[in-house]
Amino acid sequence: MTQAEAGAWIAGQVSDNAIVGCSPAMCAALQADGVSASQLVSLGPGLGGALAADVIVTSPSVGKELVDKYAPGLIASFGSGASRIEVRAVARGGAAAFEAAMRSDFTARKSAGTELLQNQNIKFTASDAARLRAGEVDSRLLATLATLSSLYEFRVTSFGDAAPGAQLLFRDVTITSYRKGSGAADLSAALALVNEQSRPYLPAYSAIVRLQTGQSALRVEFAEPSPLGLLTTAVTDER
Amino acid sequence: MRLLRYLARLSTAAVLLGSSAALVAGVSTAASAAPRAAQDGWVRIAHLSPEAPAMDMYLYPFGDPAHPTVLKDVSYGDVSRYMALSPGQYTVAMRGFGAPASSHPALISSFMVGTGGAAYTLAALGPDPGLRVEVWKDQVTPPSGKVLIRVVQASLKEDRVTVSYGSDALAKQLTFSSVTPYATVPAGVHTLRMTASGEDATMAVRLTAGSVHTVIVLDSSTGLKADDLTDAAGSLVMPKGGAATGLGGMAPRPPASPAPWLLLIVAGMLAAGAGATGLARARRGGVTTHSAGH
Repeated sequence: MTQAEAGAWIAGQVSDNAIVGCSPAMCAALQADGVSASQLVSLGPGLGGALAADVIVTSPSVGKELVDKYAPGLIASFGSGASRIEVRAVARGGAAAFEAAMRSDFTARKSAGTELLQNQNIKFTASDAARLRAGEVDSRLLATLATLSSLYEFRVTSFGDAAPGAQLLFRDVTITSYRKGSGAADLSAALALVNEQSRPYLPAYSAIVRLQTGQSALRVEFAEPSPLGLLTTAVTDER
Repeated sequence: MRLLRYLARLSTAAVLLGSSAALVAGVSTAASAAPRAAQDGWVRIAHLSPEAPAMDMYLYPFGDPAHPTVLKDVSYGDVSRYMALSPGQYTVAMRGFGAPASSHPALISSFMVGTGGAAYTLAALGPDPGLRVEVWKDQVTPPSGKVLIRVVQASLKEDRVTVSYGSDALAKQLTFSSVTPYATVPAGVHTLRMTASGEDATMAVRLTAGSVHTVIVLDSSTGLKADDLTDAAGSLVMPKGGAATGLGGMAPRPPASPAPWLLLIVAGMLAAGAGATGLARARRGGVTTHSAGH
């Protein structure tokens, strides 16, 4: 049951550009869920081959030391005890560098999210404002919202798609236009703009949807894993 | 035609600089011609995509998109002056030259300006399509009595370029869009040599002690060329080395005109008056900078 749940989540939420490392059984389940075989790397004992993957799927049988070494970043988890399955980001540059990048990204998200709250072209609910201040919104979403705000005025009705069993990080946003008369046109134009992007700013899903209130909205969703460092400046060597 | 275009650019730049006092006083804009606070960061923008046309580049503060910093008509090889920007997060929008600000930008990109006078080069790179933005942190503290230099490879015609300055190897087989770490080289006049398959270009370059440089390898109609940018120098006014190379470096130059020098002098005065560090402020008269509102 847990494996099926994890498989469905990975198939729906992990980028089709990401290589997934998994046990032979889990890889087979993922293929059955529609994940392309070309995306899957079978892990040997002790996470052998993990560095060829972007994310790995682990079970409790894998030692904590190996997990900490190869994949310290928890993306999602399912179940508990002996049946617990974790989806983790692979740290190719080493665990220490990964942890530092995580901390830096978290700080940048909090700062950028707080700046977005000053933006007169975007309105947020109180709960979403708190999420922005807490650094719980994906950096791709932050940049996309900031870019859209340079052209359109809109309201964020909700953030969503935080992964289960991991630190909150919302990768999905729904927005409505509050410009009278041109709201539908603005949403369509905003949809076109996000679809014109390339990775990492190309959403996994974007569409005009209808809310329960009957209002049209634009929904944008990014896939896992969330890239680190998009908001921070690339630093070249200084002497 | 080229001369007319150059003059038109200069005219715009001069008008904008003339109004820079208003910009410094600041309508709530994030950028100005001189730093308003010691914690402001510095950003210059470079167009290093040989296949991409001239562009207008917009820097939007996350919190204030109504007041972007705009650079108009930025062509391959152009590098703007350093602009003082308030610390914070920005998005970068690149539009075709003359495209309305209401049009869709080519791509989403974001960068953060740090505090404490950090300086960055924001470069549009890559083939077209496939354009991307890269941000490099620049060295702003010149080493006493030494010269720091790094190389950016922005030639698409040559896959790999090797660059040396005098007897010092600066870059070996550098691929497109790569940037080397800063290296220490002796001050003086030495030969900058760029070699690639079947290509060998040289140029005498003077580097002054206590300065920091970025050499950009560019394509030209006749082969490789280089542009020497002064990242920093050890005085408050425009460094001599920066002025000597600051209007285009080794790139083909427009006809001599006093206007660019006037721009440099005024920019230097603004910087000194505001207590700026010795950053090279202006390199090319052609790129105009201003803040815009909707």
